[in-house]
Amino acid sequence: MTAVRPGPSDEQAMIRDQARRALAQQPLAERHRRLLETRGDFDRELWRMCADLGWTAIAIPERFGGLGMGRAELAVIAEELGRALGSVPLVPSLAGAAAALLDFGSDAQRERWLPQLASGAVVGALCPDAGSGPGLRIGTGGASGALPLVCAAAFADLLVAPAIDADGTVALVLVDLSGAGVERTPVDSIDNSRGYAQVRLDGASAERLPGADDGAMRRLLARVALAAASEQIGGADACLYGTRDFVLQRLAFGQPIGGFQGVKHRLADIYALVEVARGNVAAALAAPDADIELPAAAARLSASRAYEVAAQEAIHLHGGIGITWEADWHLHHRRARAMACDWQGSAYWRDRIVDILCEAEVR
Amino acid sequence: MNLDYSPADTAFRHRAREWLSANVPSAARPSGSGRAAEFDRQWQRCLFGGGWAGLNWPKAYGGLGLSGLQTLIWFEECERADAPGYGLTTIAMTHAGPTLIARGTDEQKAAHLAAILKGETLWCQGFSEPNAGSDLAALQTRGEVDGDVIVVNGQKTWTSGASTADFQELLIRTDPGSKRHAGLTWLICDMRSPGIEIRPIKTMMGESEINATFYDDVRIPLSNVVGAVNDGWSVAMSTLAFERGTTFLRDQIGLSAKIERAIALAQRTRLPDGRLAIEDATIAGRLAQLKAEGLGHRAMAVSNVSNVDRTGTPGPEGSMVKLLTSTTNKALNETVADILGLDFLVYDETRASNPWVYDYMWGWVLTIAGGTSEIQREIIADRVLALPRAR
Repeated sequence: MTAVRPGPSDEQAMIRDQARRALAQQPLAERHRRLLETRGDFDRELWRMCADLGWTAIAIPERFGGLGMGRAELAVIAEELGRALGSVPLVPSLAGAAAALLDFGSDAQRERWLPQLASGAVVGALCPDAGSGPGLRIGTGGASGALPLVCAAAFADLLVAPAIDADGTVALVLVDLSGAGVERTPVDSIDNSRGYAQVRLDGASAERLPGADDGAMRRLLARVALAAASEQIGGADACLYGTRDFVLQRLAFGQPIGGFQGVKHRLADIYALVEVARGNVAAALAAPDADIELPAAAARLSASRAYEVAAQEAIHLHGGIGITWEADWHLHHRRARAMACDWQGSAYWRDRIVDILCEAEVR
Repeated sequence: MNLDYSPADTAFRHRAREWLSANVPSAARPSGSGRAAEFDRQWQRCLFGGGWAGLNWPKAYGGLGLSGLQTLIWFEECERADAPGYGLTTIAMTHAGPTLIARGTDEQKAAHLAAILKGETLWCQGFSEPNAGSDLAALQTRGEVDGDVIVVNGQKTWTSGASTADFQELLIRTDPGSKRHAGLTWLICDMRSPGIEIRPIKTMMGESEINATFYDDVRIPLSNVVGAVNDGWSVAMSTLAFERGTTFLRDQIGLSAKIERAIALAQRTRLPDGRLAIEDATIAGRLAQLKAEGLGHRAMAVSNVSNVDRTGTPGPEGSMVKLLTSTTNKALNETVADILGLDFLVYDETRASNPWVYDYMWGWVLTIAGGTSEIQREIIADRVLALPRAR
């Protein structure tokens, strides 16, 4: 644990400012609203912009067509996308699929997929577990089985998921979703831009990620949690400051409503929630790879909470305006709930913290 | 608590149960305001035909003159039978009717009360404006007396059911130099009057059952003034006091039933790790807390209505029922979200596809509409605790 919370480096601050400016010029909330009425699609125009600006390449090494930066820079972009309500699968594609290939893939797998992920030509998805059902089995005939709802599976090209092999051990596999034996059923959801789909495989072409060991999925999930937490923090921050601006100009009883303690104290509470989440993300970014899981769990728990509360209070503090379709706050509310469930929800992360603390005890 | 129902109350409950079991419509309330309005009118006609219209309206005006406790029993039986709620008859039955009874002229009562009870007319509310929500006294829609009419210009907003209503309870400023509570007038506005324009507002659930209502030289007869010209605030307050009396009881009873449904859901839903949700200590603890809150709210509501029955005047206790019910409802929705996990997200913008998600979103409306939680807390702080006003 670092004693001092480092701020962003000059380069990270520059990336942040550029991203914020570029995203502010796009009508992303409007596009999000349209996506709500469409099943199984995402903001492809924004995804092209992400690719053009190099964001899809950010945490991928240069030898695979990336920019060779790390998870801190990915966190910066994720936060800005969250702030702007960007409806793109940056987190599952980069922190999920690309990270899985980098950490556990063979050279051939990396060379085949990473350049396409870096260019945005391929979108990746991640299924954290097989659920309580049969899940996936992998053998000589490919991968078969059913997965629960998977975020981004409606439009992704590549899926990373756990599967049980003939020996009964759990492997991480890479499934080409455009191949034969893949049936995906997109469903309408509270946030349709997230592309939830049920996935059924019947002898689908799948390869094992050879470097994945027992703890591989746990470590991968910590990476995803960190990027997701950054996106959630961006969303929470947008709700906090959007609401702050509103309560400064909305008058009631002869004064701005932001002057009433019932209003200002709620905003102060949200600020505290967001800052705690930010602190957790900073601590996780500063931690060595081997120790990332505990701060990542704390980051994900606190960011999920901060985003949900901030979005909910944004609706409430905007009063009647807050419950309209045209206001952005329900977009945040929907996304906050969806993100709280994706790639393992809060229950998983609380359990992980308990497990990690118990393991430390035994040692 | 030891609540002894009198033999008369118990007999009343049995009568209500028997009638409801024979008369509750089997079809669900349709969506879309036109069909929903027809459904609500039909249910009101059915209630009237069965002798159940106007529970706590005085008998002299065609109501049943029920005690608060019997009203609560009726609502409990309605919940048990899954009977329709007030729906689009809410304003007519719980606002306009009681206000006319308290403050209307004999002519106004004759013109409207029976029609409301029989389901012949629907009403909507015209109080809130874009710049007058919680601060209702800031309203600016103006009316000028011109001979025997008042000419109305301005805008109201959040008008539920405006397109299906026949009449509106309309609160406007008639004294042009007045500020705040002085100079307002409460009017019966015929929604078919020339000069009224209704623009639907799409809510975050994707529906458009609320509206903005615009008034362009709308001429309303002076004989439609309830109370006196420039005395509308006191009329409006009698309306709202009534709303805070028993209107929210049905919500509390509905919440108790919803808590039971959430517990049943936890008993049959498996978590990703294969356990039943109810076997998870965190979820079980939250459900137990919700159950305890629901029991407490009900006990408080029963004791409130008993007090009102004894003293004859609704106090601010209704504010507590509204505040607590709407707050606990949100906590319940979030618990259900955690029970269902990813499956909670499946939703196609209709209530039928996932009532839990619909309620999760609508829950945010319930802490704003009908007096925000902040306003309810102000009422409790001002009128019960006698704390100084911050504003």
